[in-house]
Amino acid sequence: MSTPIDRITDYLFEIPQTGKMRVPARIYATANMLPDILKDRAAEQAAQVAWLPGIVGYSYAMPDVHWGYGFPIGGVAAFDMDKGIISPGGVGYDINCGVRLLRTGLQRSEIESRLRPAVEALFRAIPSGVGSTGKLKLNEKEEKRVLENGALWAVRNGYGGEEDLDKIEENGRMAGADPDQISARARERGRSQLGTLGSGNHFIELGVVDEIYDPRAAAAMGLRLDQITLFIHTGSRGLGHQVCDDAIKEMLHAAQKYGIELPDRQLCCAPISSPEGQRYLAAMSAAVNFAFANRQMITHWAREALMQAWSISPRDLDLQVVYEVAHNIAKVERHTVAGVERPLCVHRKGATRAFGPHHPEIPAAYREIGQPVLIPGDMGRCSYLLTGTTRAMSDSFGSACHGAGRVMSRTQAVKSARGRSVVRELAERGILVRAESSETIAEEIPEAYKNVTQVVDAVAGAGLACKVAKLKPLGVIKG
Amino acid sequence: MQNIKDLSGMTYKIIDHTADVGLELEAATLSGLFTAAADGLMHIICPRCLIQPVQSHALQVCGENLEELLVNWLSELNYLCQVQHFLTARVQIREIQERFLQAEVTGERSDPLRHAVRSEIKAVTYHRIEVHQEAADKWRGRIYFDI
Repeated sequence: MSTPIDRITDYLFEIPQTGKMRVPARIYATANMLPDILKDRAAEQAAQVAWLPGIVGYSYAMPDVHWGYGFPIGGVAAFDMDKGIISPGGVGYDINCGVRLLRTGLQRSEIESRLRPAVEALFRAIPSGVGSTGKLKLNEKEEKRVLENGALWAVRNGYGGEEDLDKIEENGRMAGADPDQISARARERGRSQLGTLGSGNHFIELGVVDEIYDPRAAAAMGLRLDQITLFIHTGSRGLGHQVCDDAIKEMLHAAQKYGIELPDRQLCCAPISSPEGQRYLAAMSAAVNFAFANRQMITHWAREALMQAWSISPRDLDLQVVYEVAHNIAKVERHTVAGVERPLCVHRKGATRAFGPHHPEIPAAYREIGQPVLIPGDMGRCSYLLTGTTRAMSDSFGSACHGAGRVMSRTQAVKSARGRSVVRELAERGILVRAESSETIAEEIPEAYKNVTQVVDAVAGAGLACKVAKLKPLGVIKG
Repeated sequence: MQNIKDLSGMTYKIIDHTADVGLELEAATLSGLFTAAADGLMHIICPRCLIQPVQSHALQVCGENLEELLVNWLSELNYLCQVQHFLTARVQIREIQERFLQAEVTGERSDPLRHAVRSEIKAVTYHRIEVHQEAADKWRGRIYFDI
């Protein structure tokens, strides 16, 4: 299908409302980025999301958008609470896949010669790779507590401190979670995977603050030039995948029952207020909590590993959470539409919340600067830290991009890496990479992704977020 | 695109997707199509030549239609792999109807020292799914996985 596209600004394009679309679709990108976006079906998918009942405003695609299942990855859509729907495909299989950024008390010069032992220690301390299982196996009762309490469960059980919770979206515990809405199979898939990284694009990355664009915001986040940082990117593992899988089965029938016409079965959904919609919301929230607990436990083991590798005290390491955001989630939030504030069910699939300054849901320390927005790039280039804006609140339901976005399929990436030593290439650029599987490294080669700088510049150009700092990778652990 | 064909004419092709991976399927019979889908799934997870046929499981799978049956069938094999750590070397479909199939799967427990498990399949999706009979002796299908 060739999708008609109109230019609105240098950073915004629109697919006009045609056929069964209830609203237009809007793509944040520059003219240079558009050909890559239009190469696959991502734009068509953004247009198809606009078919769904109760959609408000526009169906959005962020500059890192790429072809997903049903909803594109990099899609944002908000739905009316009475007339609208909730869709598991609008969240994705990896529920609450997200990113946590931590800062250390160390400068690059202090650890540069001791990077390898730190990478090895992180690799040993945190289970990673295909089908990775954790160091603890939960019983059913304890797993239920994890699903209800998220990162709070982890802190109460000795993984980190209360101060970590302040800097997590939802404070690391999503309300409304009901473990009883999660199937036995989903719980079984999750039970041995808490505290594991997984595989694919998930990673742990030791990095360094390479450039600061907004000194005031960076200071508020406790960041300075050449400071060592740590990124954690993972989600709800097999438990979340199964919750989505179960919900899709139920929603396929629900969509028929409620007479919802679907251009793609993966867009299956149910009215938010229906029993099916409410069941999914409760199950998804429990999976969200599993992911919050997962990243909290990984943080704890990372602290232990780094202290040991560098033979330093907790005070010298001073590993503190800068912020943690989800980028696969659906949430009920209040937004102002046509001058009226109302609750909406905002789906972000491969998109990050980017609330502007003074929003009550932002931690007090960041209230003046806006919510931190974490945009990891590929393992060879860089990542960015931004802040949400008032403009994002009015233009994109307080949302921005989530990463670089793939341009190469995994097969293409593996083919392109054949005959090369990607590990050596990265080592020559000062980046140590450790992975459970060499195939994962090949699939994740830097050129498999868009240039994150272009993605971030498009988001900043559109006014959805402000650049605060650029981080460069020093050591990467992949699954 | 890899095209893998066995002697009975069942084929699966691995299809590229920006983020994930899929299969194009072709077979003379419906049971052949479901067998090819299982072979394709296992090819993505772990090279089958490394898996020994040590133990068997009897599986029964239901679905509201052929597409749902295909998703549920592959989801069951993926579940065996993800949760039971059982790798399937071969499948034998004993009976298949529009809403039901019965099969025997043979394989062994995953052993990191011997098996190069290369992909974790999050889920079997309905994205652009197809199962249809094109001629008396030709079935075609398409399925995508989230990895």
